[in-house]
Amino acid sequence: MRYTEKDFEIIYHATYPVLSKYVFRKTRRLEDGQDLLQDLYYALYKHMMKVEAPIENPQAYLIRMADNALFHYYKAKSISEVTLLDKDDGIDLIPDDFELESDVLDHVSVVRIWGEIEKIGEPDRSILIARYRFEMNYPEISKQFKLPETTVKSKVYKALETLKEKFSK
Amino acid sequence: MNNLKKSVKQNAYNEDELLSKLYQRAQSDGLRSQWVKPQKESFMKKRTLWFIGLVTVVVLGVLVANSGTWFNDKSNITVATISIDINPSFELSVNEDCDVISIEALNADAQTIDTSSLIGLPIGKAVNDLVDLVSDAGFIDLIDMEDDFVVVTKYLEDGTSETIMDKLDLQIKDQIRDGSALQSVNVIELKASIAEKMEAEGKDVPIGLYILHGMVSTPDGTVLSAKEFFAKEGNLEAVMKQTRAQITTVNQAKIRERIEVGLGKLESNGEDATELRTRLENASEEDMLRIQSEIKAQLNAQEGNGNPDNGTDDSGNPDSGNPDSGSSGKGDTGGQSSGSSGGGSGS
Repeated sequence: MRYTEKDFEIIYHATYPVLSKYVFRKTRRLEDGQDLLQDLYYALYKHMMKVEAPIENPQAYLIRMADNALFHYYKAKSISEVTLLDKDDGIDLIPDDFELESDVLDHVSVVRIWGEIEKIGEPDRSILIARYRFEMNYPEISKQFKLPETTVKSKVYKALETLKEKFSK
Repeated sequence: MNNLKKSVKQNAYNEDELLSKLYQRAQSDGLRSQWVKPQKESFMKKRTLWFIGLVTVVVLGVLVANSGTWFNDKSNITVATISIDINPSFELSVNEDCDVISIEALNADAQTIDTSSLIGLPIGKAVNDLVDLVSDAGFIDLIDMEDDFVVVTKYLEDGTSETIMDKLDLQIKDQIRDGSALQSVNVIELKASIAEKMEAEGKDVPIGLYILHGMVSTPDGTVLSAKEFFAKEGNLEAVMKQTRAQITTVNQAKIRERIEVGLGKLESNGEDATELRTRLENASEEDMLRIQSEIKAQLNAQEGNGNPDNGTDDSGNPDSGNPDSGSSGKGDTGGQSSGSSGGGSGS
């Protein structure tokens, strides 16, 4: 049995949600994570072109490949997974429903919003991606970034306030 | 969904955008045209296929009733792949009998070698004969005193029994022991996982070299040929410490043979090699390696540094067509040889 490009596309869409989140959780920078993800799928693409025997569990393969790639990524960047030390921003009173206020940005184009988000430093930008791209809850984000939940919330709050202030002018 | 969420979803890990970039990359690498095309079937063709299917079922029924051998022909199915890196680099696919069914050249140098005579051979013999072909093509010299390295990386296709790996190991080891070409080189045997294989393919690096480079630090990320890799001081020792690598160095008989050739060259250049010959008579392996180094040094001194005709180290690009361009680290090769155990295997 030989795979077609259509088969690859099916596997790609089936595995993408899990693999993209997996890679995101393990990389420091958005650009690194996206590049690594593309490399993984490209390797799968080339492999499926040549192989005849069916791949029984593509997701497991991709995760294993990701682990190998991440090993080299950490080695190349001399990165180890350490706890981020980050002082609390000292924002004590964050409204519970502060995220509902993000609707005020609806008058701004998605392109302009992203342009501002790109200017936000790490890990704040990645925290926004965790929240709004992968829809992780605060306890999950807190665990991934090894930051207190209050700090995570305050970072999201600050980012939203910055965006609102920028586009309210 | 508000614009903030839309913005993040569209720009971070966008599924369709990444797929589109991947296809562009495949297009520019010339890969998209290489896929097997799915067939569009016309109604007539479907009817014909249905009829053929019916006939086939009837025929199969007759055959099954009369013979048990129809379903056992797996002679063209790849169950394992053996990657050979020297420079050049090849990939040999084998069936469940461990016979070679296809060979792929992985770089430009490999494409210059006709490997059609190896198809159908048992894998051990094929690897030995391949090394001979590579030597005939001038990429390595089996009788000079430069150490040559052949990296043999094995991996099984998904679902293949481990007994196939055992068969591969046995056949290749037999040839390392008895094959005329493999006896003359240092062989590094590795086993790769499918994940590593796919990753190496993604980076366009032969799998054996990919694993080796993962064992040592290469800050600039350059991928060296097997010879260049082991010419670097410390690399052979680093690989020897890895339990996943099995190294078989050139056996004593072949070292002695190489020394004889070197002595002949010295004498033809007017040098008196009596003392060296006397020492060679009862030399241990360690002594032979020392004698080999001395002969190399004398030959290099006679003909000048950096002369490719001396068989100095190859520092050429893995993908270049000239295997003997320039020299680097002449002393390194002597160091590697003296640390190895001829005819034995270390891991």
